[in-house]
Amino acid sequence: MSSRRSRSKKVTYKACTRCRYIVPSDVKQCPVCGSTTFTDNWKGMVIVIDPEKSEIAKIIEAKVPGRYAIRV
Amino acid sequence: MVAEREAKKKRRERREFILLRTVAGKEDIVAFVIEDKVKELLKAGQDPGIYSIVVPADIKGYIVVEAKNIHTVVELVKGFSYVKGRVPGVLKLKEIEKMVRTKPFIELIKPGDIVEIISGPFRGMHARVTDVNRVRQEITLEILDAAFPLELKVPVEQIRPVKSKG
Ligand SMILES: [Zn+2]
Repeated sequence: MSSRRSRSKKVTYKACTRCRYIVPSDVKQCPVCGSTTFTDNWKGMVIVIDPEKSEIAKIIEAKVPGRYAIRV
Repeated sequence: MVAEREAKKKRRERREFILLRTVAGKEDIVAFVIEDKVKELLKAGQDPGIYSIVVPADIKGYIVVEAKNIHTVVELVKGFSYVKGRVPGVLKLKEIEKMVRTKPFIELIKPGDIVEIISGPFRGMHARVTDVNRVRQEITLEILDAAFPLELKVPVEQIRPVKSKG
């Protein structure tokens, strides 16, 4: 058996309640908007790879690449 | 002139919204794997033309990939067992908008809904919503598991919906 930890479900993630950016639960401050309020209660996700070219990034007003919760 | 036209063309690049069927419950993992693969390719100087990935909040077993062309996406997920295939056709931006446009969580909560308390002293208990205060971001609850009627107010972050009154 491999000892490499699977990233699935072992790492838990929370979403910034202001900008919806998703971070691992041990992060204290949102790297995008600076907020310190997070919620574990989020659903759905948009992964923005290229905010310049993505139409979806424009809809959700994401300017930084990364993962955003759809509902918080 | 030509440069200007070229620039315009670039901005209006072709965009497809491709719906992939995944094993239910593995939507996040599939999205993460695609994200990783795209990042690797970008690092290697190749642009696969994949710009975003959506894991819908309400539809199980599907994800949406926003890409320049369908073929690249199909190639990228080939052999990945959590991907069960592509739904023929492409989605329209309007449909995507509905999927990703966000509503604050509190707006989805209404009196009569059953929720679970996820933090604080009543953590793990189920409750019925009796009032929603949008200004204060506070929910009034009636605890269901209590032996006697018990009402309390909690911040909206402290609850998780269990059953909507509909
Ligand atoms: Zn934030």
